[in-house]
Amino acid sequence: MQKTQAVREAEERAAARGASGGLDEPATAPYWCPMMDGPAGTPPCRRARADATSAGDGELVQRNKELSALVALAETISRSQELRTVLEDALEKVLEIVAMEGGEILILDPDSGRLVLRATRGIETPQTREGVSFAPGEGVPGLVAEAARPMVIRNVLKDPRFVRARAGWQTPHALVGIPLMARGEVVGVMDLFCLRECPHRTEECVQCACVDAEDVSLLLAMGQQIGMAIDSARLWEELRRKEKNRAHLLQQVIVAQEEERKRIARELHDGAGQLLASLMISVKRLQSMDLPEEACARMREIRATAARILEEVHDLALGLRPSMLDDLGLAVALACACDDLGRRTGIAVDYHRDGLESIHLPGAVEIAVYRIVQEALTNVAKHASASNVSLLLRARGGRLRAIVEDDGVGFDVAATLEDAPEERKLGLVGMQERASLLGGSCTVESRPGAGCTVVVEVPIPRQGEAYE
Amino acid sequence: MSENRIRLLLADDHAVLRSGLRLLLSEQPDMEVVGEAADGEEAINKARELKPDVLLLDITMPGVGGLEALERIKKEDPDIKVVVLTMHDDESYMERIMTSGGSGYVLKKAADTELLQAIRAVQQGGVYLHPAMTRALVSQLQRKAVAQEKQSHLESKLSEREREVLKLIAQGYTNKEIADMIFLSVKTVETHKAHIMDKLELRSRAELVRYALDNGLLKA
Repeated sequence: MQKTQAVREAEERAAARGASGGLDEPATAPYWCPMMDGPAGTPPCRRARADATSAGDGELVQRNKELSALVALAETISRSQELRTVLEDALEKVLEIVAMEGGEILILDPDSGRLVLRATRGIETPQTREGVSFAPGEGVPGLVAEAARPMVIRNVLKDPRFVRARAGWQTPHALVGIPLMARGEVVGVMDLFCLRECPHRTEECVQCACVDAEDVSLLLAMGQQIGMAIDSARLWEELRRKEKNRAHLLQQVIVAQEEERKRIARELHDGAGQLLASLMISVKRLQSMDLPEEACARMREIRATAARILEEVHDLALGLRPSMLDDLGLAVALACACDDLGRRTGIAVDYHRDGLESIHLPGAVEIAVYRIVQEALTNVAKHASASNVSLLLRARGGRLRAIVEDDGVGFDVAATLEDAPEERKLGLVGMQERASLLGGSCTVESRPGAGCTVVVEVPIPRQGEAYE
Repeated sequence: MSENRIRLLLADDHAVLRSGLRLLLSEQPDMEVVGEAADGEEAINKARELKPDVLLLDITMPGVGGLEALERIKKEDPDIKVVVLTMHDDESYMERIMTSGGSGYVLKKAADTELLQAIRAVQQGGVYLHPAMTRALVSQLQRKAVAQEKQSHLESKLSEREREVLKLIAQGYTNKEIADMIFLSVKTVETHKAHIMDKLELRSRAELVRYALDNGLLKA
């Protein structure tokens, strides 16, 4: 808010009046607010009221100004969700609105219960101000927070409540402490400083002695706004932290699960599988001996049973973890998945891939894309009633994209995510989850009657050569 | 007599299976096991040292796997015939092994009945595939031939718009993305796509992509 020259002059006149009127602040009163100062006379004011021609107009002008100030602050605060930026921007805006020189914001740390300095502006501070904090009731911030009420100190040097006479800290002449409130609780304190030498050489600073009732109530309203902003920025930060932890945990669970599946699949192959193969060879050797026909028939039975067990062990291992994913790569493993679907359901999957020849895909990308596509193909088999399905796999420009498309019955994606049975919903959400863990995405395009397209796209970490 | 025997090297990381195989093979009058290896590295070294006629190779071994061993052995000594012994009854493995120079592909579940036959076949310069794999290979070739024939006599009767949509489909964009790119509704894009498929007698997105690639639509 820009002040006009007239307003400035009026303010200065008013300020001079206020100073000569001399508000006597009792040293015993812990909190002083002009609002509560009773009929002691006209509070000093440098605001527009002074040059308003009538009380009604003055009221209107004042309200208007307050409103614009709050709107300007709200606009500033809403620009960022990051706490530090919110605080710095808010402080700058408030100083601009109330035309004071310096300020600081302290935030109540819920763990330690102390007010921790988080932002300063316009005031000289030591280089390292890490860990500057106040206990409840300590210093101006502590007192303001404890009482949840504003405080105005007109002569900082003479006031015992100001406890910060540390090296490197610029001492203001006067200050206003404003509690920052959110949901009825103090979440921090904003101190605004008057740093200019008082031109009138009076004991009390006339520059800020003029913080009057309207100013304080305006500042309190701003305090509410900033408090809410702190609250939401904190919730946002907490959410982000939790989300990060969740993603990390999920990733670990997935890795552990895949490793476990791989291990069991290997053991099935290497243990039971090889022993069965050996058994069959032993039976074969027996058969070449000169044995009665009945014994030979029994041995053929044994051989057939062993062969069936071996096949089952192999299928079991394949279901757990396709070994071709590790041996031959994603492109081949997906070809097998397509064949497999065709064999099981009779739906032919048309598979086309390009750009993967010269690319090395990390194991995490391979298994994630494999599992997502596998899920998509399973969904097609279960729900789509499709006659044609295609799978496209394409690597280009550092990204790997897989598209599974069917010409089946389709479905309402939003509604399905909303009220489908838990299993199907989980399938869709799980696909998106796995893709997003790799910094990628998985989208489903479909509507009833129009088939369904599932697109998975993940970045390929730099290592091998990119396509083209 | 012994000069005419097939000299065999066994490479498999499973000791029990290896000893079973050794016993089986040693009983054959025309075969002789000259060495064993428990992993890919050892297989490479033993092959170099013993120069067997036929190497029986398990492809899933720890360390240097069977696939890499196969490639390196064939590179060093193309005369060594390799019969791969595996649990995997999948075409992709077979394709990879055959292109890497393998001569035989025997499934472990059929080792008892097919292995001896396979060894004798490759020794004579032939190739041995598990019957199911041969079928898969042949049907794959047939599919390719049909697809090529179908495309070669198709006239392109696409409109400009359809051409544009086909190109974008081939570049891997979804209907919704295409709609956003050329300012059409998703439904209109779907309609274009359906028309393209009708005109080109294609049935799926993958076929559209292949068509576009084969007809140079992506180059323009």
